[in-house]
Order: sequence, then C-alpha cells, then structure tokens
Amino acid sequence: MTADLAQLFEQYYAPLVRMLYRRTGDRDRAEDLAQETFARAVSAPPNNPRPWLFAVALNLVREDGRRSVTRGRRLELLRSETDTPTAGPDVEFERNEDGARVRSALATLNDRDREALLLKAEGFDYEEIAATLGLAKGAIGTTLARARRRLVEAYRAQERGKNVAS
Amino acid sequence: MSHLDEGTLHALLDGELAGTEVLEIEAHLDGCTACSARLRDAREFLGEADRLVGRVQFGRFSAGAGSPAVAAAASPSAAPERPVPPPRPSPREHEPWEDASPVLLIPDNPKPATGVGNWIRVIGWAAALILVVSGGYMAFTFSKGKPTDLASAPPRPAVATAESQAVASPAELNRADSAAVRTPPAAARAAPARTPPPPVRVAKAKPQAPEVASSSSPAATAGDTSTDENTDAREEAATQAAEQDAIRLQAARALTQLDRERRAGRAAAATAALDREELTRPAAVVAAPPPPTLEQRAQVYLRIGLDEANRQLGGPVHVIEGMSPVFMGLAPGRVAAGADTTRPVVRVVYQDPQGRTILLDQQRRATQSPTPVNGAAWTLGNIILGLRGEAPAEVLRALRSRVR
Repeated sequence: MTADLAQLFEQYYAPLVRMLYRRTGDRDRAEDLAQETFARAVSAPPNNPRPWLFAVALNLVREDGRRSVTRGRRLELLRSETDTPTAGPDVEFERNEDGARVRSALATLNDRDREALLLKAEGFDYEEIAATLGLAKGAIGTTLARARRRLVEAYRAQERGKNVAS
Repeated sequence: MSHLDEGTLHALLDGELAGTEVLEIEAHLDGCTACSARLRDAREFLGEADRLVGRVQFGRFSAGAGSPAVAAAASPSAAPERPVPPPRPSPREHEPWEDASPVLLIPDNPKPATGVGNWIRVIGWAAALILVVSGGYMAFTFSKGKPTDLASAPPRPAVATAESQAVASPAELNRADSAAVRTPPAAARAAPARTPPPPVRVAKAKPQAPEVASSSSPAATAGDTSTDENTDAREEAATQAAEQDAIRLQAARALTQLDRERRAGRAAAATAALDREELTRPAAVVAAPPPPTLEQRAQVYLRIGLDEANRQLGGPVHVIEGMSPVFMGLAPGRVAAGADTTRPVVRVVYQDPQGRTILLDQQRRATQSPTPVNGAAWTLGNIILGLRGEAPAEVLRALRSRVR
C-alpha cells in the first residue's frame, strides 16, 4: 500500500463508513463495503479520490455489495481498540429509536435524492455531488430541495403516528 | 425576474450561487414576500433535514459534536435573515471507528485469483499433502516391519533360530514381512486390536543365544520355546494388521458421514438463501417488465440543469408557479408550428400529488414565424410554450395561467 493510499484511508474511511451506514442501516455491511471500496482503490488508484470513493461505494450498495465483498478480496484492518465512555442504556435506546425513525424516513426517498442528501451531509459541494451521482450540477439544488422536504415530511408523519399510538 | 424555484433557494442557502446571482436574488427577495416566505420554508427544511441525517449514528458517539450534517444544520437556524453560505465542514463527530489511533491497511490479496490459477494452487497443495502423508506412512510401516519379520520367520533349530533372529538378513525380513501381511490368522483378524505394538524382538532374542548354545538340554526343548515365540509374534502382527484395518474402516465411514453432512449443510444454506417470495411468485408476475421510470414517461433524452436550460432558451426558463419541478431535460421535436427546430425542446417535468406527470415544454420561436394559435401552445416573448401530460385537460388549462 502506498503512502498516498494510507493517507486516503485515514482521511476518508470514517466518512465513508458513516455515509454507508446511513445508506444501508447495517454497520457490518457498511464497513465491508468501505473496505471493498478501498480494495478497489488499491488496484486502481483514483485521480479525484473523494467523488471516486463515494461513487464506487454507492455503486456497491446498489448492486449486491455483499456478494462483491465475499469474492475473495479482503483488507486486513489492524487497529488498537480504545475504550470510550458510553451513555446509559436509556439514552442509548432513545438514540437508537430515533435513529431508526430517521432511517425509516430516509428509506422513503428515492435512491438519487437519498444519496445526494447523504453526500451533502458529508460536506460535498454541488459539483462533487453531481460528479459522484452523474447528474448535472444545475439539478442538484432541486434534488436536495426535494430530498430535504420529503425527509422532513416523512419524519414528521412518523412522529405524528408515534404520538397517536402512545 | 420570475419567482425563485425551490432548487435555487436551496442552492442559495448552500452557498452554491455566484456573487452576481446572489445579488440579483437578494434584490428580488427584497420586493417579493412570496419568495421570502419560501426562503424561510427552505431554510427550515434544510436545517431540519441536516439535523435528522446527523442523528443516524450507531454505537458510541457524541451527539451534536461537529458532524458535517450537524454543523451545517446549526448554521441555518441561527443564521440571519439573509442566507450565509455554511462553512465547509472540516471537523467530524467522534465515531467508534475513529477511536483507532494507528490504522494499518494491508491488502492480503490485491489481485483476485482467477479460476485457473486458483485451481492450480489447490492442486499443488493437495499434491504436497499427499506426498507428506505417503512418506509418513512408509516410514511408519518400515519402522514397524522389523519385529513382524522376525516373528513370522520360519521355525528353525533353536540355536540357528536364535542366531538368525539376531542377524536376520534383509531378504528374509522382506519375505517374512510380505507373508505376514498376506496371511494373517483369521482369529487374530477378528480379535479386538487395542494391544500396543510389541517391543523389538531382536533385543529380546539376543540374550537367549549364549544360553541356548551352552545348554546341555535336548535341542527339542529350545525348538519348542522358539516356536511359541514365533506364534506369539504372528498373532501380534495379525492383531496390528486387524487394528489398522479397523481404523481405516472407521476413518472411511467418518469421512463419508462428514461429507454427507457438509453436502446437506450446503444444500440447506442455499435453500435458505433463496427468496421465498420469488419461489412462490407466479412466473408470469416475475417476468412482468418493471414500470417505466419518470424519465421514460417524460420522454427526456438528457437531463439538464437550470443553467443549461437558460442557455438553450436564450433567457430564463419558465416554470409553473407554486409547483416544484422534479427535473428538467431536453426532448426532441417541436412544441408547435413556428418553433425553431434547430433547438431542442426544454421540458420541465412536474408531478402532481396523484403522481401524474405534467410537462411544460419550451422552445425558441423561429424568426418571423407566426404566433401559434392552437389551444395547447402559446407564446411568451420569444418562447413558444406547451403544457401537456397525464393530468386531465382542465387541470392543464388551470395550470397554464400559473406559468411564469
């Protein structure tokens, strides 16, 4: 592994896993897909890494990512585990429940809207989002506007349903 | 300036517009209460959506700490009335996977093995394994062969037997060994074979030689003793052979059973992996083509952005007031007679709450062409417009008055 690639990994692994987790809702799968993405970067180092890595990762999500990951290419990740303080179980439960509601609201969006939203949340500008998703830059504002409105409306609808149920 | 669409407002809030565009929009916002209200709505949606996305975490995390989403979400709500581009988020939240201080990434197999290469490697390993096992087995057989040879040697006179056992030739060893392997006693084969291998007979026979040679007793006594020894040795050799046969049989049965279990396990896993809905769904339903996408329904051959639409039309693109376009694109053909067919049709695609598409087509008018007079097309300045779609005609007629 070259030093550049190591730096790339340091810089983008965490945002990539975070975006993939938000996209898939599965931590193990998110980490597997991120590793597969970097495995592809090892064999074909990208020129413009950020849009490249996220585009490859999203493509892997769209196709059956798990099948690609178990094909025989793996990366061995060695890292030291450190303990961090954890929240109480009730706080953790509320967070998980709220996170599940948001994921459920995200799931109501179509792929393009959801991915544009997640990339924006990772700090992508319109040009990078357009390059990653293969869209025109002029369409990103409309895409994000629609995605944000639908996400908020879906979440609010769930909140209303929850209040009615309780 | 026509009213601002939602995408432009979000681009403004995201800090994606150029300085001149921002000035124009701000000038418009100063005099348009409707657009100002929509800007407030857009800001609210933007902030709320970014906060929601920022909440999707797992495991241990510090909520609200410097996530791009959270950081971006904080700025619109606290922002002044005029939009300020949010800062590019550099700090990130504390994530479990970020706890790891030294991270080392090692590709253990950068190039996936091809099918042929993989098989060659497997065959190579199998051949090496067979060689090692065969060598070990031969060594084991050779080391155990000596006592068997001596024990199964033909009976001889006492003195001669004792001496010959002490200095048995290799030819005799081989001959006796093969005889012992070929014809083990039936009783010995049937016997349960759990006795340990016998000690080396050569060592046992050596002290007897001087004793027998110096003895004054008849030769028959020594011969009987030697015959008993040989019989015991034959029985033990036969026991060992029977033991090995039994072990081989047990191993073969265990391997067969293991193989059967593995096959059953693989079959069960493959069956479980199958989508039960796919299995139970009728073939005709599975074979049905997927519903057309919105792009297919809108018959757009290329999606474009606002800038490109403006460029194609030579001026600002027209929109339906109060509706948000899903996307814009280029379509072939012409909107109506008199349109400049060297230019593509700019199609703004909408969806009403019922999911029906509404297409607002726009195309430049050819120089000195007559104004179209049919009901579906009309002219605004130098642009010929047409409104059509899946919505009923009365809905389209009502929307026509809202085209700006």
